[in-house]
Amino acid sequence: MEARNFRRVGLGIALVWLFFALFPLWWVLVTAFKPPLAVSQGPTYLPFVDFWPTLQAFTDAWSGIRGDFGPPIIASLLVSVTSTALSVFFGAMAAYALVRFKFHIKLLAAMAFAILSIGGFIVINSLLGFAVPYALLIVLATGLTVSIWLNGLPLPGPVLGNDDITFWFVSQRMFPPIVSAFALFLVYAEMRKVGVQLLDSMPGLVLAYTAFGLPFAVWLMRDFLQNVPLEVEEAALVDNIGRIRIFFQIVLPMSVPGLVATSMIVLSFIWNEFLLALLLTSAKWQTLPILLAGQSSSRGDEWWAISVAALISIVPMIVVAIFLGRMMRSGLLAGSIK
Amino acid sequence: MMKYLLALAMLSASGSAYAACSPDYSGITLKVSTQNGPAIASALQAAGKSWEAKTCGKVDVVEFPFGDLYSKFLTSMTQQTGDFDVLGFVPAWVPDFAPYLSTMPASIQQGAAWEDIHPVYRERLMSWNGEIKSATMDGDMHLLNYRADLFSDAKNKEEFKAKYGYELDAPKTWTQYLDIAEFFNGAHGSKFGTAEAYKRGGQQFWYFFSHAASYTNSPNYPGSMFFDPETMDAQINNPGWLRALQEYKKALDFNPPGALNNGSGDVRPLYAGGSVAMNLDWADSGVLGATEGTIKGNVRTAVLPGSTDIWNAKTKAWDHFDTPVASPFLAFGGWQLGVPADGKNQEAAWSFVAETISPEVSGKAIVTANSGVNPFRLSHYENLDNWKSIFTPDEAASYLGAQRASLDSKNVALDLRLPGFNDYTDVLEIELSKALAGEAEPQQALDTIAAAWNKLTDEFGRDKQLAAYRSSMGLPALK
Repeated sequence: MEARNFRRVGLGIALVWLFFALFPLWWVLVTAFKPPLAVSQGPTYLPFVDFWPTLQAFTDAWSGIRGDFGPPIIASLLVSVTSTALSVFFGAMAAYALVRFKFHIKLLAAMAFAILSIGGFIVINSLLGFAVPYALLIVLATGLTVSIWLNGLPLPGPVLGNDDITFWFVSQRMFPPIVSAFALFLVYAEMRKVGVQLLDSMPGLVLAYTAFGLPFAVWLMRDFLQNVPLEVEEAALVDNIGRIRIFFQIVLPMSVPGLVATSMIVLSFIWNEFLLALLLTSAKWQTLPILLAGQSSSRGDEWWAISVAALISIVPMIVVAIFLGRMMRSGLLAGSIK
Repeated sequence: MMKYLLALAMLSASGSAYAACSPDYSGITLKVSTQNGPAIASALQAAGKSWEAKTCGKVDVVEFPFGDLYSKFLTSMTQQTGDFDVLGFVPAWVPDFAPYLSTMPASIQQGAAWEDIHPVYRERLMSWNGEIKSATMDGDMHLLNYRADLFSDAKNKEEFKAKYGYELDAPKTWTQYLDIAEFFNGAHGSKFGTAEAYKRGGQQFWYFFSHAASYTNSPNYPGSMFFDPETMDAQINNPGWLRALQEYKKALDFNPPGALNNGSGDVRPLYAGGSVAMNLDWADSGVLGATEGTIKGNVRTAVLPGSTDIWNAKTKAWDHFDTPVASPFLAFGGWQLGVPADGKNQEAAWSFVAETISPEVSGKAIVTANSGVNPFRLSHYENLDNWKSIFTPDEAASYLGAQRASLDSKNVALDLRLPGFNDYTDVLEIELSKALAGEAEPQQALDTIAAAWNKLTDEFGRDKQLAAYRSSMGLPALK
């Protein structure tokens, strides 16, 4: 009797939660079919009862008078899928290294890298007059070489381990995005001056979004890869199979659910990202979030148009989520260890 | 004979091709950027097609969210990315953009088409530090819209006169405006009295400015609405502004419930849908009401109410006038086009601008639904036939008459145009919202804004801001 009551209470709470989860979607769906006047005539929720539905907002959206949806959808798909694939690929490799190898980075060597990079940039750019991209390339290459060499020396001071490196990855996403976004815009603008077109280009966006997605991918994949049994890899090592082959042919297939889950999360972040897209694009590679935000114009919030744009922007994500969800389930079954 | 005919045909074809590309901008693609459509962007696309047909060039309209337009354009110009050939922006940003914009060629600044632009736009809003840096493509001002069916109803007129002691008509003062709003609030054929925007981020401050212009735009001390034009001290906490805020807040009583969350986008359909007897808005409400609304045939437009008392910032006293002085406020000031100085196609870009603002192209835009373009040329106001597809003759006469009268008004009030405009309005919106929500007393809120504005002025450089402010108000530089 008591168990039944608990079930009823649980069901009641679940239904309330379901209502809160579904209501915004219902509101967006209903508003997309409202004529402008109906939106401001008080809250109405039932088509044909409360108001007479119209396809006008959809017609406006597809006719292009509220911005051309076609190119941003294609740009969003190309950029987010490519960036997600690269983020998860490199993230999985980095995470595997963090799980299976021990790193020792001496703080002094790391500080030497920072000092050489910043100081070197000032000298090469301001005093020697090198263009920003060349100055950056020189200091980063020099700083990295010198710091790797310094790390091999018996330097005093703290030594950073794998957990510190993982935290450093995640910390990249902790500061406000505008900090890195505007710096990236300035670097891209300088690159253009020396003939490298990264602003408003797919390579530029993919590069930025891969960097944007990597911290998530490393963090999430590290947890998944920790659960891959070491014994399987050891058995492969005994058979003299190289690390690269082990990674691609043993570890990755066993981590399909993790790869899919990580891809879904990274993809959703990149798909919805606004600030980088706003700063780094102008005409050709504008993504959907920019178009979506643009539905609120100087004439005020035109909710019917915003709802249609929102529906258009979430449909591809729903399709991808269903597809990846199936992959994740089949991966869980196929990847189970006996 | 065949050869002769063939040669003639080829000559004719080459001649028509030449005529089709005059001036010839073949191979040039102009990147024209503004806010997301349909408003303004669709007008630029239509102008683009017209320009393409004449010049054989191409126009690519690039749209961005309005809220991010300022930063997008400014970073693009300061970093000289050369992303855009033509920018569509608002006059308030001209002070920040001017150093990076090219000057309009002298060839455009002459002739009948130039003289046809209303002088308020041509001589004041398009000019910055004595140079024409931008071209108005849309005229904008706040107007009062009201319903003719309610205002001309004999019973309403009789009851109104009995209650308030004067004739029911478009209000001449804000006191009358509040009386009428009260009269129609939930009675006499209307659900609510009036509709204004109060939402932070919903263009609320322009509505507040419209009230304030009547009490602070002193004809006896020109240019003193926002700042003292001699010292650059903020005036927003003077008694004129206080009275405006009190009345703006009082009007909340006659707005629909939840009006604190209404932006300009909500105000428009409330009027067009017949829920309110009046509203304050740009010219869009009239068009929406006459085309898609339930009040077709009853759209009437009037100049904003004025006042018989105006605060004089010089004497620090109220100046009294025998009849109400109208101080119509050019809220927003309309969209303008500018050509970045780092653009590679400046000649073609200015040619596109000239085409967009031409009487022919703009004449079509003002009567095209959702173009967002409102009249700004003398010919726009005079050609009533152009409006047949939208308005009845009475509606057109009222709609165009109110706009023309606003611009022709001796005491027309220009919007704030100052470097750092967004910084000034950000702090204004925060404190204004607190006062409207009852979280701060009106005087307290205005004092806070004034202190913040003075601080901002000092940060930007008082002398520099003073010079810019005087220029924006059409005042000569101080010696």
